[in-house]
Amino acid sequence: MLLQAADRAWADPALAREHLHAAQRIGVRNLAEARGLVQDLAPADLDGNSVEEALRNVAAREPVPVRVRVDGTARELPGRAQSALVRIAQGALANVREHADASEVALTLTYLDDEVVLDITDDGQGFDPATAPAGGRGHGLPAMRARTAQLGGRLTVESAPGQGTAISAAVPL
Amino acid sequence: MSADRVIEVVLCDDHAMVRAGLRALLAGADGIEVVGEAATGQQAIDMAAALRPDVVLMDLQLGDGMDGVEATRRIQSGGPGSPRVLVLTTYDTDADLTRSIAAGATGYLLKAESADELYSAIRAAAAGRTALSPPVADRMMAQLRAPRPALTEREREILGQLAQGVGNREIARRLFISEATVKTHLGRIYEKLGVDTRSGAVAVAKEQRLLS
Repeated sequence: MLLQAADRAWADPALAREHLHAAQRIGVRNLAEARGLVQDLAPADLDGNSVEEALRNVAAREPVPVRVRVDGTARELPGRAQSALVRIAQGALANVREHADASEVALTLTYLDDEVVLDITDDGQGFDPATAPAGGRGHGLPAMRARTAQLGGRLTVESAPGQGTAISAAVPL
Repeated sequence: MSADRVIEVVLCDDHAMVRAGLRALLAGADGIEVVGEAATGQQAIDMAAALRPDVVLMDLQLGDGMDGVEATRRIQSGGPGSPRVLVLTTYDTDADLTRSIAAGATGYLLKAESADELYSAIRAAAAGRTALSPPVADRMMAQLRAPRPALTEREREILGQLAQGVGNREIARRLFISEATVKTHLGRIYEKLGVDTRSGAVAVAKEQRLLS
């Protein structure tokens, strides 16, 4: 509608531009909302699967073999925690695929009495966590950190150039 | 041993003041005589062999070098007829207690005990009877009533690496997990074993044969 109004007001450039800018602002906000919705949706891999199966599916799609291990006694996790763990695994494996040049990758889910911990480790080239880029597509470490924090957990990043990388997301139960 | 025979005691403590205090305390006891004072574990072992006392009163924290548990173990390794070792400590931790008893101590006393408790503990130890401070005995009973949870497979795995002297970073690398998670596991292992250091965990693990 704003675009139509801009078209009609074409003879008045100032008014037409105002309509256009308004349309632009709304468009940006809609995109952000859409992204947020997508992020909050349960990952498709969880559809009908346990979190362990979902993680195995995610791991199986990687070009490098990913060793998946579950430690401790598995138990039903809240839906939000399951979604977050799978998203974090996806994000971390995307980083490994795009940046690490790793030959060994492992994903370990550890059930403890009062928390569940997901570790993603690789033997790739590593990086300096202090200078890691922010990542603009909802992937990246900031997004993983935000997901973990939303659940009251903590994300730990251990890496150094040439030393591989270990990401650990601990979520309280 | 006849009741009127004097019980010979060697004191082992790295603090001269404590030895002097114990000597003064024991001077007031009938039938107990201090025959030697050791400031280190090695001196205690040497005196135990040379003087053949009935009882060694052993402190656990001996400053640098061998600790009281190790000294106790070596004194007991002298076989039958070795002096009885009565641990006398300020510290009251489950790990120290477990390690001391595993090393062959006949009793475990806290320094805060009264003089009479000390005399009777020395007499009991000389006769080969177990002597425990009441709070220590209480805790031991509580432990037996509610045994600590068993270690998980992963925890045993990590404990095994600790026993080999492997550091956290290398354990993490070997097990394909983060150091943060290694530390989490260590925290739970320490809690289950009632210790607060790596060496404490390894000592308890060996003594309780937790590592196959």
